[in-house]
Amino acid sequence: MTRVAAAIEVKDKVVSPRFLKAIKDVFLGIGLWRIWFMLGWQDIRLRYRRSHIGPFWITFSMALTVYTLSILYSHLWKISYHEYMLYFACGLLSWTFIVTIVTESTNVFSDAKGYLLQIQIPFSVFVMRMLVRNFIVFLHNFLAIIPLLVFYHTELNWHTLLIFPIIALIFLPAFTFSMLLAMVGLRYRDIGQFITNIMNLIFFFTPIMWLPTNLPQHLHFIIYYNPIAQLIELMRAPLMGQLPSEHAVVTMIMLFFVSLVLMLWCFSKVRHRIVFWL
Amino acid sequence: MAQIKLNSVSIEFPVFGLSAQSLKRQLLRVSTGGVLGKTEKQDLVTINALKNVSFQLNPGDRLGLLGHNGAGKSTLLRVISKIYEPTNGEISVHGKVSALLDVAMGMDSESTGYENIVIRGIFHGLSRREIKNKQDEIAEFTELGDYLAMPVRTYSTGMMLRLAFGIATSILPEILVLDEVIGAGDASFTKKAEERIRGMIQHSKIVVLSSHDQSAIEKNCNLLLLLNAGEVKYFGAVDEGLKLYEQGLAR
Repeated sequence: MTRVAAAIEVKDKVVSPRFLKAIKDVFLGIGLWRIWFMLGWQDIRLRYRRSHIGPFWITFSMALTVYTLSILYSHLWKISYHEYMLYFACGLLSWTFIVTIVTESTNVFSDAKGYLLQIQIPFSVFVMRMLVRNFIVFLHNFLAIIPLLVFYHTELNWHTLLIFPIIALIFLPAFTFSMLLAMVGLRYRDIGQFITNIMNLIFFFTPIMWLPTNLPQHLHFIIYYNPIAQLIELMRAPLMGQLPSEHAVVTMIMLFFVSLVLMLWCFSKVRHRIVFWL
Repeated sequence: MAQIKLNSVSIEFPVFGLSAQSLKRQLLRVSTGGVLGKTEKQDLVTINALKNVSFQLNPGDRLGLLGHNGAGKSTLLRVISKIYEPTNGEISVHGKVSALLDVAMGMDSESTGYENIVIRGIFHGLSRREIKNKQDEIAEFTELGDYLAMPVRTYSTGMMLRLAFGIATSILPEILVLDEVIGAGDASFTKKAEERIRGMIQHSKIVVLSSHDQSAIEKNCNLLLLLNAGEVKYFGAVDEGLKLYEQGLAR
């Protein structure tokens, strides 16, 4: 990381210094993995302090939701329990991961006020902390659906292993998008509330509880142009032993580049003002 | 070489009222084509926390900051610690800065004393082994004994302060920035804390400390900066500056 910082220093005269400082913040922050890893773990520990099963409450709550609701909904949709259960579980797992990242993003910097006003520390550290925290939650949620994966092992094949590189890839847009939301959410405090509300709505417009086949053909644009639905497809498909659609991959890559450009643009402009907004 | 150089540094804080921070205002401004723009500008109150501050500190300098509440002492400390970037002017700081603005930063009440030592150590970029080495020294200084293996929430306020102070002062920086920490702790601990701070001050290359305690500045500093309403009123030798400050107080 210091080598990156040094290389940036050399180019300092060529490109705008504000842009370079923004880039530097991003890389230095990611390099401070000891700090964000520790903070992420600490968040989980604090949330479940003095509870006997601790973070396994996450697992329990996921299991409870998945195993009860899939019985109810398979009856509602009049499809076989076996067909529905794995689909619903994998979808909900992916949704929970994505939605908590999006909604928690807007509070990342205000939650870190205590640190940001006391020491000089890259802003990106706190976005990474939030991502790690949610990855730990994801792993606990994942435990809940392992019995399903074992039970329906006939559905599994080598595509299932794709989940690991896909999660790694999803971290790219997750990081850039969260940085962006963290800045905007800090400056405009209404954004956090707005996003929470919108995400609640998006849940119903995303095939998690319902199957894409339930939707009439002329309404398929709801899924096609819904980036969240595409991200979920990207995670759910391998878990169910399928290859994710090309469209889902393209959507993710586009999300990454759009949010990367927007994030760097905003961050270069406002990085030095962020502490004043706390 | 450690050095701090401020060149007409100003800090202007935006103060967001309920009206200015909401998105509605901004959207309205866009949709009405800037008619509301004028009132918007007037709504945005700013505070000039620092105005045209210039000075230079070289190795060996120990600077004391004096000023009334709201004079801009903490803001200046944050500028030197590179937390605030100047709105106007330039600052260059060479050397690793360690700011002791809040001794209890990052303390986790559910973790044990030992774990808190690790947390703080990681923030300072120490490896696990370096932290281990510090642990015994901190344990000895704080005199907390077996309590260090207990969650911090079981500590009394005084014990908590001891631990926080012990951890925060265990790392020797090139440039030390202190905010009102001298004399922290209960009576029996104060003397020990003072000694430790003095040791830190002696071993750092540059020290900047703000305090209301004039004797602390007299004892530890060779330079004094008087701040009033964000402006430098005096920068120079300590005894002369203290005289000025007392005159100002008498008036």
